[in-house]
Amino acid sequence: MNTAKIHYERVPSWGYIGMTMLIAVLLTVVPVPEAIQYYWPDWITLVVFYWVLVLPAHLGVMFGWINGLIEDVITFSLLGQHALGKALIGTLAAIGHKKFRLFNFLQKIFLIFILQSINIAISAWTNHLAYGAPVFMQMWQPALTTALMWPVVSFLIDQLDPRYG
Amino acid sequence: MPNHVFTLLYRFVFVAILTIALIILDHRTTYFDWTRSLLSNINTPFNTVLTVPVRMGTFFADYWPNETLRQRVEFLEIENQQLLAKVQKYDALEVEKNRLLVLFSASQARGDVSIKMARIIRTELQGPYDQRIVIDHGSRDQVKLYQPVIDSNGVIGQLSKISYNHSVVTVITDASHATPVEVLRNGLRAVARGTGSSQVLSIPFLSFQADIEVGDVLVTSGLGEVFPAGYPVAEVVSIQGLAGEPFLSIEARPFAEMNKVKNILLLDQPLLVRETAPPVDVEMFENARPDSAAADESPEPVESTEPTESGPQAVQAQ
Repeated sequence: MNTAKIHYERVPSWGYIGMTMLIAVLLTVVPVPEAIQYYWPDWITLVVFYWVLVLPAHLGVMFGWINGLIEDVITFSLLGQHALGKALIGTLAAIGHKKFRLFNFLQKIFLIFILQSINIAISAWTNHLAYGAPVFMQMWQPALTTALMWPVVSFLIDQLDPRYG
Repeated sequence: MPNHVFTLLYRFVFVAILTIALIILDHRTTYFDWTRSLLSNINTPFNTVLTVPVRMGTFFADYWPNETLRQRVEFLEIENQQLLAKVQKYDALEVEKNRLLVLFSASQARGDVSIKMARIIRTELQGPYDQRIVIDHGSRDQVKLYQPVIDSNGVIGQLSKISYNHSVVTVITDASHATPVEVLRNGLRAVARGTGSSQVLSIPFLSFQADIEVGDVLVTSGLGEVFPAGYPVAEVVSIQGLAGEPFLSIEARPFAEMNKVKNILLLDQPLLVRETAPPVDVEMFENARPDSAAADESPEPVESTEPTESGPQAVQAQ
């Protein structure tokens, strides 16, 4: 699977972007067995990263922020808890999009691992400051699975786009 | 750096400041409760989609009754008989109790508890501070904040957020939740604190002399005025006394199976009058507690009845 071949020059429809966001949110709240819940990837991060790389001129800070806010509302978290991290991911992806586009998929996996780790840290620290919640290593396991899901997710978003090729 | 990088960074800093303000306001105040309640309605289509498999299962089961279903009906009939028998005994006991209460001229006999049945839409048992269950009853069904929630086995939790057509239950295993309990065998009072794992409650602040054994059943004590007294909460599974520690480290397993139940019961207790309850002196509790360091690091949401600036209520109201 060569995911470096994402068609960055296409103009996707807003409807399709919205649909991928919707599916990401749905996957976020779908009930998962207790055994894998600490490995459940952050689908919203993947979708945000993907679309910011495709449309860096249009999507960036606010796209990430809105996605994060939707996640906050849907998971009943503090308003802004996920929005802050997602806005940061949107910003960094938009700033570095020229470099990131040229990354091969291993480099992208590593990049997403870093970005998602920061995202989780922000969310965990917010929880810690607000409720004194403990911060422990298990919380960062989803960063790994999120990064590993990148090839699959980007491939699927590519292939299922009606305007693709 | 090129120009667009600065634009993006400025924009991010602006958004970040706004978001931090939003987090603080949402955490510290109640300004955003109505917004949250309104926004929360975007959950409705997701809830509908997520419950499709369950509803389809029920739909098909209705049209193709099979052996399992027949067995289930038989089982339920038998169980119903047994329950009816037990209820008769309960009625007799109730009469007996009221007679005794009058005899001892007790100030008030507890009224009957009315029960509402609700269905679970979603369970969120991921993180230690995200132990929540979403149910299909909301403000349109006249449910109230902090209403206790049980299943057929024991206490599940209390309502912590209410929207129009659904509400959120914070379960007793949430790390920010504490349930006032007593040991059924001898009435020893304790607090069952959530740990973040749906199978474990911890019982802090019991000294080595405390009369508690493995297998003891913990029931709600009725203190804290959220849970009515006498509902089963958990069973003690392990007691460890570590040298150098001032208290026993006790673990209990809740009776309610949070990740398996489909239907839950909402209790409506006539005694539950939060609006008129006198404010609890939180500082008095803090000082009276033997381990003040531990008390500082995790406030107990159940104990307080009035919203306070930094403490129990803030956790509940979010």
